Parts: sequence; structure tokens; C-alpha cells
Amino acid sequence: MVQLLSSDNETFTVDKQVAERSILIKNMLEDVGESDAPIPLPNVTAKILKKVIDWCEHHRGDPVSQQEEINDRKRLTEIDEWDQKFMEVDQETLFEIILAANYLDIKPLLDIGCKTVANMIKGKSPEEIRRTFNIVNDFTPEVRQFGIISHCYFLAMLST
Amino acid sequence: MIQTLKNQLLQQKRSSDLQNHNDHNGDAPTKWTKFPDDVVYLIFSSLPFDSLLLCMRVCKHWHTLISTSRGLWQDIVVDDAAAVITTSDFRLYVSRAGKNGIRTLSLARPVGLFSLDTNEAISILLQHGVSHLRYLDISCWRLLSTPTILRLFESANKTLKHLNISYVNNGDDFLTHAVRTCQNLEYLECHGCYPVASTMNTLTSVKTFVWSGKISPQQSIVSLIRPFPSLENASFDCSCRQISLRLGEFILRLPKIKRLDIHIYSRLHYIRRYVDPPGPLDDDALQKITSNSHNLEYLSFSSFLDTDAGDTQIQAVLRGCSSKMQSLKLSRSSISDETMLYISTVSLPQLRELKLANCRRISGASLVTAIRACPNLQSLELLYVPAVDDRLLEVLGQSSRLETLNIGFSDHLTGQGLRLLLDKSSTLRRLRMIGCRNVDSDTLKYTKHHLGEANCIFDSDV
Repeated sequence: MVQLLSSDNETFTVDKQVAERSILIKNMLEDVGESDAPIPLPNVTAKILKKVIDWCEHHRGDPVSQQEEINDRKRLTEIDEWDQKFMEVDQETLFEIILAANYLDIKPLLDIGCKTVANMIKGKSPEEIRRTFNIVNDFTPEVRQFGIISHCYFLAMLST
Repeated sequence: MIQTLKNQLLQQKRSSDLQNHNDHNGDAPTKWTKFPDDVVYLIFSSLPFDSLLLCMRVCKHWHTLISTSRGLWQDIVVDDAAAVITTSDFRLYVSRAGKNGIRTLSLARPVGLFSLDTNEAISILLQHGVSHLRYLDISCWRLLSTPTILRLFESANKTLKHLNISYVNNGDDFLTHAVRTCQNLEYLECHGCYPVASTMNTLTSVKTFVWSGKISPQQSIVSLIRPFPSLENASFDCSCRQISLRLGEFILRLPKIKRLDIHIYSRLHYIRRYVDPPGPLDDDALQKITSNSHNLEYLSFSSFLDTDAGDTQIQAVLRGCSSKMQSLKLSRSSISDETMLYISTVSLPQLRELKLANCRRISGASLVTAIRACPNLQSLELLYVPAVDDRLLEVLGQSSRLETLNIGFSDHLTGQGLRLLLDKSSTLRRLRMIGCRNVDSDTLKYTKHHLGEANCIFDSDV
């Protein structure tokens, strides 16, 4: 068993096998050796850590490194059903999970999170994307116009 | 006390309102800014290419990040039929991939191609180097010149694994060249082409061959698989003038086959009355069929002659793969009760899909025993099968997994059987029953109500 300490000082006790889905924790355990002291995770709140542990519990049996799987059309955004359900959270939480997965170095969870976000982007116009993720349009007006009517612009230039 | 609580609550509400307001105003830093670039890169790398182009117009940061990330430009995959890619766009995209060149090019839809000079596009590819090109889908590219394509195949002859040259001009020519030049091809797809098997080399790396088109009367369709002895997936959909062609002849030549999907039609089907059926296969051949089909998971065969997939051949196949078979689709086959009883003795535990369209020699009783031997059956098609009657439907109602059923053109079926099926089955979701003349309209209404209008299809006059 391994103890994990969230940023808001909540302790979680999990199986070593489950905790080791995180490469960060795995490396820490290897460095420190057997110890009862909880591992501090200052970048992860209890709420998110609980979600992440849930995910690791469910995927504890998965083969660890199956990456570099050769997939010729790699831009597939397929997520299995359980993970899809798991990712049905508000945007804030989703982003926190991605950040946590990145920090804890849990590659498959990071992938699923990124794919979920990619699915939110897919099929949207730039304006819709900005609205969805609350991103400021910082292009200057000329650039903006140029982007939209570049072809017409060129044609006009050529004809005059 | 209550007053202070109220005040506190109010204050909280106000501050949260303020925060929301800030969020919408865009003053507050968005969550995106927290993401390190490599995470954003990961998100972009699971986007389709056309979404990526749109993302470049979202904000300056994204524009810079996307246009400078070489890895994102190594896979140009455009599925959007409305995407317009001009030759100069294409030049820009390819140049962004950097010195290693692109890995994947899938630009198949014709709409975006009016503005793209196809030969010029391939020259651009060659200029930037194609030493990493693995996946090439140039379906529907027209006006391609043979020397240009040949140069491309030669430059990418080691790396190219996946090739789709459907509906290109000179497809048959290009196919021959590709097979001759590219040593590591694994996937080959060419629809609408008329290949000449005799001009093709043998290429053992090919695992998948998808083809549709026509074939000249002088050559047999079976000869088309000769260049590819290691095929695992084969899909042929073609018109031919051959008079007889047996399923077994394909399997005899394919020791590694997993998925076989052969659909043959002929304008000469009326000849069938005047020709003798092909003789039976000998025991050695049947034994070889059994050993070759031990990996077979998917078998779909429809041909214009009844004798092309008969009892002995199907049984020889099933003997090899009964534990693995997931999908068995036979149309116009002459299989009889013998095969059905064989299925009931070996049982097909993995079978999910069974289609026996136009297999007119099967009796109801043997069909019942066969279906009982397939515990995972989800989809069943019994189009034009005279054996379908009320009793069979009652048995199907007890089948624990059945979701989709097609019982079109069953004359012996009445409303009573249909009601039994609907009342007993808890899993059935889709039902097609066009041309069942003896089912009364009340039962059809009941069916519609039971399964929902979208999930059942029958004659339009109901």
C-alpha cells in the first residue's frame, strides 16, 4: 500500500500496483524505497486525485507500455466506453485531470484527456472554439480579414 | 445570526458572479494558458487535419504553435469533402513538415481537388523527399502521368505500406507498377480498376487487398490473388463473365486468410441453366481448405451460381475455424440441412452475424438447431428463406443476444409468430421484414409500437 497526499492535505491509501500507473510515483518509490511516509503531490487537489485514482483502479490490469503502436491513420479520436463516461465532467475538471495526468506522468490518461478535448474542438469553427474554451481572439483586424478573404484578396491584387 | 448568514451568502454569490463575469470577459487567463505546450501539442496531434487548419485561426499562440510543429504536418489527412486545397496551400503544408517529409497523405475527396494540380502535387512531394512516406491515399486523382507516379513509387519503395489508388486514371497500370516497385506494401486498395494478374509480380508483404471492378473474360478472378500469397484480408466486389467459380478455390490459395469478402455478379447469370455444375473438390483439396481456414473470422460470399459454395466446401471451412468464426454470410448458396446439422454439432461460439439470404434448401427444424448452437448470435438475416415460419420466430424470441433480424419475403410467416417473437425477446431492437405478405396490418402496427418506428422496416403501404 502507498499513501498519497493531495495539495489540500487529504491522504489517500492505494495499492502499490495502482499508484505505479503514475510514472512519477513509480520513480519516487524506486528512489525512496519502502517507506510509510505519504507521498506529497502539491499540484493535485483531493477532488482530482480521487478521479485519477478511480481511473488507475479501473485500468490497473492494462499492459503498461503499449505505445508506439503503429497506427497508420493515427488521428483517430476513439475512446473506449468506460473512459468516455469517466471524462463526462465539466471543462474545469477535465482540464485539471489532464494537468494532473501530465504532472503524474500517466500517459494513457493524458492521451484520453487530450482526445476528449480534441473531440470538443473537432467540427467547430474558430469562433466556436474560442467561445467553448474562452480564448481571446488576439489577431489584429487586418490579419483576421486576410485570413478569411485571402484568396479574394490575391485575385483583386492580380487584376488591378 | 440568520442575518449574518444571509449576508455571507449574498457576498459569496456576488463574488462568484464577479468571477463568472471576468471569465466571460476574457480578462481572466483562460485554462488553456495553464497547459504546457507539449500538452497542447498532444491535443492538436489527435485532431484531423482540417480541424487543425481551423485551429490556426483561433489565436496567435495557436497559429505559431501549429505552424512550427513539424510533427503536425507529417500527416496530411483530409476527409472533409468541402475542403479546398490549392497547389500553393499544398506546397506550404508539405514544406512545414520539415526535412523528413510527410508520412501520411490522404487526400481522397474529389471536391478539394479541382484547385490542385495532381502532377504538380506529387512533384512537390518528391522535392521535399518521401523517405518517410508510409500511407498514401490518392483516390480519385485524375490526369496523373505514369512517369510521375513511377518516380513516387520508386522514391518511397521501402517505406510505403498503405496504398489506395481507387478511381485514378490508369489504375490498373499503377497497380502493376506499385506491386513491382514497392517491396513493403501491406495494404492495397483499388476500386474501379481492371487489373491484369499476369503482369503482376509476387509480393508477399501484402496482407490486405481490397478491389472492385471488372475483369476480362480471359482471366479468372482467382488468378488475382496469385500475386499475394500472404493475404489476410481480401475483399472483391466485381463483375465477371466466368461461369463457375468456387469459394474453395480462393481459400485453397490463401493459407493465412482471416477475412474473406467476395461478391460476384454477372450479367450472364441466365447461362446457369445450360451449364453443368463444377465437379466436387477432391478430399486433398478439402483437407487443404480446412487447414487454410484455421484463422478465418469473417466469411462473406455471394455468387451467381448456387453450386459455388455448397455443403462440402462450407463444412470444410467450418471444420477449420468453428471456434473463431465471427461472421458468416452466404447468399445464394446451395447449402442444405447437412451444413445446419454440422453447425449444431461443432457449434460456433464466437458467431455474431449470420446471413443466409436465398439459401432455399434449408429446413426450419435444422435452422433451429443451428441457431441454438450459436450462443452469441446478434444479427441474423434470413432473406428469401422459405424455412422461416411462426415456429422459428418463437425460437428466435428465446435467443438471448439477438438484436437485429431480417426476415424479408417469408411467405409462411403470420402475425401470430411475429407477436410471439416480440413478446419473448428482450434484446431485439431492429427488424426488417419487407414482403411478408401474410402478416396482418394490426400486428405490423403492434411491431412499430413495440420497437419504435425507426427500428422496423416493412412495406410502405402499411
